[in-house]
Amino acid sequence: MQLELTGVEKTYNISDSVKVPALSGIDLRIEAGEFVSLVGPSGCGKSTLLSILGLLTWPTAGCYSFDGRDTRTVSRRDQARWRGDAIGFIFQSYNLLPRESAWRNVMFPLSFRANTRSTRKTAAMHALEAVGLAHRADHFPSQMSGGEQQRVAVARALVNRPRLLIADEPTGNLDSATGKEILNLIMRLATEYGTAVIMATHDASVASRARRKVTMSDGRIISDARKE
Amino acid sequence: MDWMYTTGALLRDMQTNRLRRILSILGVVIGTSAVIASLAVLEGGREQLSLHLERLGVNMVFLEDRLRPETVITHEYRRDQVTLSQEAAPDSTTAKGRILVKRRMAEASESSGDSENVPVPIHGVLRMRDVSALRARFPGANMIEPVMTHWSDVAQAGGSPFGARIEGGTPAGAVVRDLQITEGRHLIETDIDHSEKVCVLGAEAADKLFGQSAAVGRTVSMLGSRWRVVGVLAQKGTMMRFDYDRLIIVPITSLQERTGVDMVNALLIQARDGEAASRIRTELKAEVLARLHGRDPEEIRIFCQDDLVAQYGRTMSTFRILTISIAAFSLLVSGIGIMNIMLVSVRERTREIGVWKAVGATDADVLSFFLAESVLTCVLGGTIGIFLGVLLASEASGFVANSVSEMSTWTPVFHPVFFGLSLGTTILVGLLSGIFPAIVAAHLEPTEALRYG
Repeated sequence: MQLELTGVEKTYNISDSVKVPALSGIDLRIEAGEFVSLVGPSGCGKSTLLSILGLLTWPTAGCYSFDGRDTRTVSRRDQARWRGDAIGFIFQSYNLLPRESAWRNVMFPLSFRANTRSTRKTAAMHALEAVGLAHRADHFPSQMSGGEQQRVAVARALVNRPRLLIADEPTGNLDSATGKEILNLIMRLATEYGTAVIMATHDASVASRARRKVTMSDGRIISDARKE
Repeated sequence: MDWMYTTGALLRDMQTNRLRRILSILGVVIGTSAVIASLAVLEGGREQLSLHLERLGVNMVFLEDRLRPETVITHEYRRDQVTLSQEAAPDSTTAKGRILVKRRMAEASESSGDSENVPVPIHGVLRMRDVSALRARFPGANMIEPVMTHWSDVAQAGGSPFGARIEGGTPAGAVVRDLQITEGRHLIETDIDHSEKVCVLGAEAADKLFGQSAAVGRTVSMLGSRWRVVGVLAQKGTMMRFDYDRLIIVPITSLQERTGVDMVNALLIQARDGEAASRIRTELKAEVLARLHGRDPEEIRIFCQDDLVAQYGRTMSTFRILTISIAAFSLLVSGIGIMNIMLVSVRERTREIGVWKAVGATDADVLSFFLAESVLTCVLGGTIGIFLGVLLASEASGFVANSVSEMSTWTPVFHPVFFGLSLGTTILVGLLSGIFPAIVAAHLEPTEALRYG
């Protein structure tokens, strides 16, 4: 898998006269299995960049090629299928479905695939087991702690064994011990599945765990450093 | 999209927002139950009429003179300025007639010396001799039977009187209308020939007069005379506003003799076949009007089964249109309510929709989910409405049957097509009310949706 952004720009049109530039001149290339941390102050464009990488929004200008294919040529429907098949998301505020149990939340991404219900449930239970929450499978998000909810979110993001995991401040809502635990979990599973990870974070200690650190400011990449 | 999962998710959501769901489907419940109940009740009426007409056969023709014998007698009486005595109770109207007969008899006796007790001929109405002429004029009719009706008080000896419809008829008149006997016998020709004071009681009239005890052989007082009961009719109910159960049938000759009026105010005609019935229907009225000089054609009504069915159909279609309009309005209001609820649901789930899209849901998946939610909501309302409609129709028919004797045998009829139609309509309402909110949901940009709230 290879992701490549070339001259990507993103501008939000608030109204006809008000336009807010979020990204400008982004050139970035991410290889399969890489672990990249994305750092920078609030409002620097980290989340917008992650959204573009995750096909949740589209660049205003420039080219984003996913696995060698220009995403501008891919239909909305196929982009949705790519998100389901190749990309996993972890959000700061977990974003679990509140009326569904843990295993149903984890199984949800598989609902859009043509496989049997029992296969889906088995996969969901395995994913929960991998994050150590098989015993809470029938519990609802409201019955779980923040750390547990984020672990369910990790299980949901990885249940499809995606090639790319996008994590937007995954430890932002957690205490440092739980955050560290979640980070370890993500790193372990990503390594096990060969998944590339791009993680936005404010936490320097979290960012330092990645081999590659991309720093942003005012919608631009100001440094792209790799650890030896 | 996994439909099992979708349905499960919808049902779980319905449980959490129970009150809101119940309120949103109320209109669908009311609309559907109104349609089911009204269609079933109206269909019951149509089947009852069809059954009755089937028994009669397709070759029946009815002629009715709207001028009542009571009117003729009262008119004659007033013209003659005769003072009435109340001694002739219980039937004062008949007393007028009887006094009139006596007066006319006296006049006839004075002028011709003939003292026979014969009814007085009245001009402008059908008489027995006209019936004979019509029989000869219309050979296509198997039977042309005269009927004279007259309202009178009736009482068992010593009992309190009640108003009843006395029908002067012939033995063949019972055959034409398929009247069945449960006790005793029908009228026979001898009764007609000798103007016997005998009567056949309708089921309810017999019950009022004699309760559970046998009526045949006993006597009743009416028209200022005592009449022997020879038979009791089987219960038949009401057809075309005519209550057979309260009827009292006497020989037509006896009724004419007692009222003093030689008048026939209805004809029951059984044609050889449907074609002959149609010809008689066309020609009989002109023939009768030609015989009754100067009568208003509007007062003579002639109709056959097709007319009855058409008349019923017209009345029922008015009711049907009214009910369906109410139901349609109710469904429209409900549809708007459901659309509103669906828009609220989309708004509340905006973030969820973002998650769905992030994990692989296409626009079509989201559209299907919200359409399914809307349709499922309506189908749930429709199903409850159908059950309620069945209950309503049964209860309403039972209530009407118990309180209105004319509808005592009216039962609702449920055709599967009613249920199919109702469910189909509710699915349509669900689709129409859900399509806009579903499109709104499907077109949400994932990143915007995830940021919502």
